[in-house]
Amino acid sequence: MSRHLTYRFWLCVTTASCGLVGGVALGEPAVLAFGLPFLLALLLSMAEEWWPSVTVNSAEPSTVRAVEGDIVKLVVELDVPARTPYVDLELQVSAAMESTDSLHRVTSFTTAGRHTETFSLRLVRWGVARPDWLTVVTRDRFGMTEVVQHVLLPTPIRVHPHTERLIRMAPLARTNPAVGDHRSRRRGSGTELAEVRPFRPGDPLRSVHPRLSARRGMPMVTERHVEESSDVVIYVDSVQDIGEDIETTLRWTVTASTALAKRHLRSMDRVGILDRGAGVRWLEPSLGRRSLHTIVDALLATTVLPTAGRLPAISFGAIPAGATIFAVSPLLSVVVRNDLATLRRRGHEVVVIRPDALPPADVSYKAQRIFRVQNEIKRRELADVGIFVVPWDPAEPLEPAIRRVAAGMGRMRAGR
Amino acid sequence: MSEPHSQNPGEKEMRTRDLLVTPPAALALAATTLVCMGGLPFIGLAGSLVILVIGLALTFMAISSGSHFAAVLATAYLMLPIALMLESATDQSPVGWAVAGVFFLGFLSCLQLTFATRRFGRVSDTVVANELAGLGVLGFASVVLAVLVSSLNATTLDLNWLLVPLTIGLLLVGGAGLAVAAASRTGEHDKRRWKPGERMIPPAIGAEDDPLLR
Repeated sequence: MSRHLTYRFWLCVTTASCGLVGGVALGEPAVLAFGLPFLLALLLSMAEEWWPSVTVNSAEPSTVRAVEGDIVKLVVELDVPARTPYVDLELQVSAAMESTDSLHRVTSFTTAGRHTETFSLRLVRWGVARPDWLTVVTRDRFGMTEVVQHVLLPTPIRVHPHTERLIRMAPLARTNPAVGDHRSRRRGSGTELAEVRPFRPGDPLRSVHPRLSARRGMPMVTERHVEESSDVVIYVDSVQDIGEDIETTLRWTVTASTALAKRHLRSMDRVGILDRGAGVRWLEPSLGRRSLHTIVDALLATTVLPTAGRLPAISFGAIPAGATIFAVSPLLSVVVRNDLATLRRRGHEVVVIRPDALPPADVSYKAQRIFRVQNEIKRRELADVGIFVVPWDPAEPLEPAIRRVAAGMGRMRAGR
Repeated sequence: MSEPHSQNPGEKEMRTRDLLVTPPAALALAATTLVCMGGLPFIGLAGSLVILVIGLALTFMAISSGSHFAAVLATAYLMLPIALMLESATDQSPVGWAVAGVFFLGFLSCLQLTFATRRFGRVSDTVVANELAGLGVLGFASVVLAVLVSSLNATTLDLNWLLVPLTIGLLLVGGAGLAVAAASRTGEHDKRRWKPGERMIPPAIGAEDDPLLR
């Protein structure tokens, strides 16, 4: 908070002094009369109150989670100790939100007590949005003094992009013994039928199928696949963010990563995040509802940080052995492609979902062709080291892309 | 020091054309026109037009820049045609000068309200009412005092016993203000200095934004 004497104070002091001195010295009542309003303004403002101030009691948004396009209210509660004739409130917001009416208002409070002012904000972009600052300027009636306060608004609003609920999952190569939704190659106590075979010594008696045994005339047993879980690490490419308005590669990456994380957590997989940008953000694979919240919040906080020079190579020692890597990346950065190849060489199964918006119609045919050829070269480079790349048009749902992953990975494993 | 027409990147910049049609700006431009053309009977059409063009340019500069300095300059300029009118008037009463002083403060308030409407600012009616009430009180008291000064001046009474202590008191108030200002002044390169409309550095990403920082 800072207090100032405004330019009006100096104007009034100077003009009133000049009027009085000039009037007395020159004996001119006109000069004296001209200075009188300035003198009176000064005296009346002193008599009323100087430096009136209000206190911002709270400034809270109506919700802390919303979806892109939602409108939230920011309710500012002000404690007004006395009558305040001029209160200027101006809100500074991040680029992720905009005002639906006005972020700047000038008002007065005629009574002491608690007053509220409501700002209406539209959330235009996913991520962690917040109104950054509230600037409150209060002045006395004649504007001689002012008090300026900058109030930091601490409550972030998490703006979710529109995501979808996935049904299908990519089949994972390596599973853990913990119970989950992935069909294992092992036989045991699952729900999905694997095989029917004659009884062998050592088989548990309860695995004997009575009706089938009666039909065949010999004891038959049914074997089932064990349902297991796995470790999944979602590799988020935040090296760059390319696109127009809100349709950017990073938004698509976050959208797909969120859907994948939700789907795998629903299937009892442990899910972790590896966010590769100028630095590395790492969240160890974990399980459960709390983990989902942490993952979603971490994904929403993804930003592209400015870098100088080349990005450093990173070590992947913390990634659990056997974890499947789902990378969501436009594959524009060499660093990301190198990372993925390194992960594959370390023995991880790596699947890349490439958000791949078609170039606009006004782009020349030659440019579109170069774009396609470059994408194909990158895909083949990664396929050579055993990485499956599936393109995904963000205008379409993610589900078909996941189905293509499921179908393509089987073929790729068979070809290895 | 001019201030931008928008503080927030999400907002479109307010156009000067839109700013000029807000009620206080339109009133300021109309008042400028009226005052500048007030000298027409005394200095002729060409002279009045020159005064009008300069007056409108200064008022426009003040409104579009949002600068207090430009506002004071534009208001002070309007004192020229007013002084011309008052000096050309036959009675030359001090009341006219007192009214000129009130007009000065009123015009300045009007320009200040245009500053409040910048950056899509919404000014409540109570603020306007407060301004008008303050100017009304000021105008009434000034005219009464001016009449008093005028009538006392017509007598042979010596008023220096009142005016000299008042002047000294005022100078003392000014000195005290100067001391307050000097004590609270921030340095030229101090990052805390803030101008209206200036976008401040947003807070750094913290643990409340990113759970991975916890």
